[in-house]
This record gives sequence, structure tokens and C-alpha cells, in this order.
Amino acid sequence: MCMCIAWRDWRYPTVANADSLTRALVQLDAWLETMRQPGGYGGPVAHWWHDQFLYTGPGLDWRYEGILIGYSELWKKTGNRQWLQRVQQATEDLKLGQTAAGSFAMSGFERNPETLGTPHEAAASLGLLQSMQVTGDRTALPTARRNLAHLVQKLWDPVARGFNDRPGTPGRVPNKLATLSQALCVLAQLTNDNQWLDWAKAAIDDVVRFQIPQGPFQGAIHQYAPDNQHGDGRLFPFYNARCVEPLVVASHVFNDPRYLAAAHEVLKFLRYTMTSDGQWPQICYLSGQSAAYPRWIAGSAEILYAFHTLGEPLPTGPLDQLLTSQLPSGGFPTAIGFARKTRRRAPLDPPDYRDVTPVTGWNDKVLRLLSALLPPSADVWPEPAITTYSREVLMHRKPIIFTETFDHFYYGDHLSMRKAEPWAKGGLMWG
Amino acid sequence: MNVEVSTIPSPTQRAVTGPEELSWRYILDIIFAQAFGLQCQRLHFVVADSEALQTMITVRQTVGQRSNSDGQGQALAWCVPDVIEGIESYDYVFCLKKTTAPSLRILSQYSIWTRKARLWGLFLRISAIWSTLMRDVYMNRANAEFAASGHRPARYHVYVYRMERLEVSHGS
Repeated sequence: MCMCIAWRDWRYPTVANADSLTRALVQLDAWLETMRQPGGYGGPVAHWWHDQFLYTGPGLDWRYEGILIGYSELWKKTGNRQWLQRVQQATEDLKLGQTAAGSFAMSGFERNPETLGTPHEAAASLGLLQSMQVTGDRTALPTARRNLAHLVQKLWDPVARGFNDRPGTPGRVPNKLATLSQALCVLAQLTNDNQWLDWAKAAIDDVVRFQIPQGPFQGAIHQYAPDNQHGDGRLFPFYNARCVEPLVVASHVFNDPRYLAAAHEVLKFLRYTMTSDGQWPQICYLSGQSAAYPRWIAGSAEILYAFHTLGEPLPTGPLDQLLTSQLPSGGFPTAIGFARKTRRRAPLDPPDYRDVTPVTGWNDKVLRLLSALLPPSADVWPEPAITTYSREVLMHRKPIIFTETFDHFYYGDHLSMRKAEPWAKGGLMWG
Repeated sequence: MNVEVSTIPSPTQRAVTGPEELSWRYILDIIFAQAFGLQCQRLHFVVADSEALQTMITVRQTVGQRSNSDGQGQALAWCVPDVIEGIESYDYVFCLKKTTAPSLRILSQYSIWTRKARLWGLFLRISAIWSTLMRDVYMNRANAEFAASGHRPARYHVYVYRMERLEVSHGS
């Protein structure tokens, strides 16, 4: 029986140094291991678009990007075989979860159970490819190649010469195209096969096409272009950050400084939209209005990673906030203010149940960031000390006690999830 | 959990896109989650002859095959408008219409694509003309109200029943 500790007691002041990074990483790794089940890493999903608290089974989606890249980075920096084993384990998940057509099973993240998830399949393949570059083990190359070939076949629009968001639907989603472009670039590098580069260039050119050239939001990239002509005026700092590394990779691969300049422009937008308390709003609209919440906690790692990619100093406030938010279980909470998605004056404290729930597909982004920040010599690892905790949260406006143990999430008496099982249990899922 | 699928031609089944698709996602997730929680070893779907629906079941079935290998229960998921039949051999019945069969005891019910969600959806369409922000606000409200536990005015309902079997006494 685990001892529960109160929410406030475990917070500790920290600064980002080798010790704090190591401690955070070892705790996060221990938490990620609790999220494994047959078929891969599972757990519930809280997201801007949709939540999934019924299906809690494996998701072969963008969580594998951060997991594979993060663990292979740790392996490179420390030589510790434990991290290599994590890479091999995640690689096997994707190999075994690939369908005959080349898709990954359950690749929809918040839309799971579903296949052909975008950008999720490309992100998972990118994870495979980048980890292969580090470990030298190319056995998963056919898996990634088959997956990306399938995405090209399903999403390529030969008339407009670009990638649709869904088969037969002409819209463009720049951040997803960025991920796809990066994966295709790395595939071309690993296979010495330049046939992938035409598609990679078409994808990244569409990203730049929807970047705002001037005005207060100069450098920001529209979230969506439903008609493939006009951006929709929604600017997500998080999704903009996901465009930065693909633009940097494109600038190297195509030897074109315009892409690097575009990446720096995105960073200007990220600086411009950072709030005084070191967070980012969910959406900025061209009208000047914003959807302030939810503000990502674990997901803010992706924004900080963009700074790191360009060799810029990380804003210390957000990094310290991220590190101090780590839960006693070792996971990082998802956000602040999910309840304000629907009610602008909803209380922030107690938090919404989605705020505190740690989600694998957000925590992988923390893993990738922290492993990238870790100095190469850090090869002494403390034992993880993860523990059970409880706290009051609001679920459909009603106060309940949320508890995370090594093997369960409990949401009052209404809903429970065994981390090793693919479906939640309980009757009162919705209000 | 072994999943079987039988299909019935159903001209009233709408195209499974947009809110209709979202509705069926909820319906199937509820059925799979409940069948899993009730330790069902077999789940027999009767659905409209729709490729989209069958694909959605197949995707969920992939996970189901790895779970409940020790389960005992037999469940029927009756997802067509026709009058339910052939329930005697099952321990649990999931259906989209309330049934008055005396042998069935209701365990839980859910409402999908509620009237409130449709109302917010209407606001969403109207506001989309003049404000992206308001469109997102109404989209979030529609999503939040899309499914509800219990009975609400809605396009779909999912009823979860347990079969009550009479004990036959052979005593003196």
C-alpha cells in the first residue's frame, strides 16, 4: 500500500542544472515505465481538440517521437544501456503495430482508436529515423520507409502538388507538413535516396507559404488553410514551435537560408506571445483576441525545444515552471485552465481533472527537451523515488479526489483506469 | 475479448461523417469499455451494413484481442433500428433503444449528440461567418456537451442491460 502525500508538499524550488535535469529525467523515465502495457505506451489523452478518457490503450502516435529521440539522446550522452533498451522497446512497439498497408495502429492520439493519424504517424517515423541515426541500428528502416511511403500515397495531391490533411480533403495544416517534411528529409539522408526530397520540399514550402510576413504577428504560421489558399487566422504558439526544427533541417538539406530565416521568425512570434508569467496562450487570433487557456505545462517543452534548436537561450521562467511542476508520480501535468475552454471565468484552483492528468503524448516532449539539455557527462543516475499522490480537482464542475498510483488513475468514484489496460472503467464519464 | 460482427442492410443509416462519425466513436467506445469492464469474453455486434462502421469496430477489436482473455460474459451489441431479437444466450445487451424485455435489467445509459450540443453546433455555424474566436468557443462547448451520462434529449442513446436469469428450483 502506497502512502499518499498532499499535492503541495512535494514541490521543490529548482533551477535547470545537470542535477535537476538528471533528477527530473529519472523520475520521468520511471513514470513512463508505469504507462506501458501490451502493445506500447498507453494512458488517457487531454487535448485542445478532444479528450479521450475511455480508450486508454497504446497509441502509436507522436508520443513515439519524443520517446525515441529522447531515449536515444540519453544513450548517446551516457552510454547507459538502459536507455538503449528503451529505444529498442519503443522501436518494437512500432514494428509490431504496423498494419499491412504501412500505417500504425492507434495513431490518432486524441482521436484514438484510429489509424492514419496526422502528424502522428510521420512523427513516430521521425522518432524511428532519428534514433537510428544515433544508435546505428537500421533494422527499423523498412518500418519507417513503408509508413512514410503510405502517407505519401494517401495524402499527396498531385494536382496542387502538396499534402492534404486527410485523403481527398484539400486543406493544408502547416505544422503537420513540417513534421512530415523533416521525416522525409531524414529518410532521404539515411537511405541516400533523393526521391523523398521532392515531397519534403513541397511540404516545407507550404509551411513557409502560410507564414505571416508582417504585422504584430510577423513570423507566425497559420494553423490551417482549408482551401489551400488562405490561412485561418489561428496562431497556436505550440504548433508554431513544432515547425522550427523541420525548418532548420530543411535549410541544411536544401542549402537554403530562407528556411532558417523562417525558423527565426517563428521564434520572434514565440517571444512576442509569452505571457509575463512565462506561459503561452493556446491560440492568438489575427483579430488580436486570444484563447488564453488551456496553457500547456508538459507541452511547453516543445516551445522551449524550439529555442534550443536554434541555439537561443531558453527563457528561464518557463523552464523552471516546467521542472517544478513534476508530479510525485514522475509525470508532468498537462496544462492550466482546461475548464476555461468552455467557461472563460472558470476557476483555476482547484484545477480541472484534465489539467493534472499526466499524458504520455505530452510527457514525451519533456523527455526530448530534458535529454537535449542534459550535459554529455551526466552518467550518474539516482534511483527514482516516485510515489502515489492525491489532490482535489473539478470534474464537470464537481469536486472530486484525483489519485495517481503506480498502476492506476482514480477520478473519485466515477472513473478509474488501470494503466495496464486499454479501456477505462466507470459509468459517470460525462456530466 | 472475441469480437464478432453481423450486418443488417439499413437504408436509414446516414453517412458516417461529421457529428455522425463522432457519435459512433462515442457509441463504440462506450460499448467496448463497458464490455471490457464487465469481463466479457465475447462481444457480438449487429450493425448496419456500413463499411465505415465495420472499420471502426475492427480498429477497436485489435486492442480487444489482447484483453479479457479470462473473461466469461457474452455480450450482444444491437446497433440497428430493428426490434432486438435473439438475446437469450447473452449475459449483457447493449442497444440504442430502450427495451422492455422483462429479463433485462438496466445497468447504465448514455446520451450521444445531445440537443445541447446541436444547439452549440448551430451557434458554431452562425458565428463562423464573423468570428474565428467565437467559432472555437462554440466548438468547445458543443464538444463538451456532445455526450452525457444518463438520459438527455439526444440523437442516440446507449443502454447497457444485464440479463436476469431465473433460478430453476429442483428441490422437493
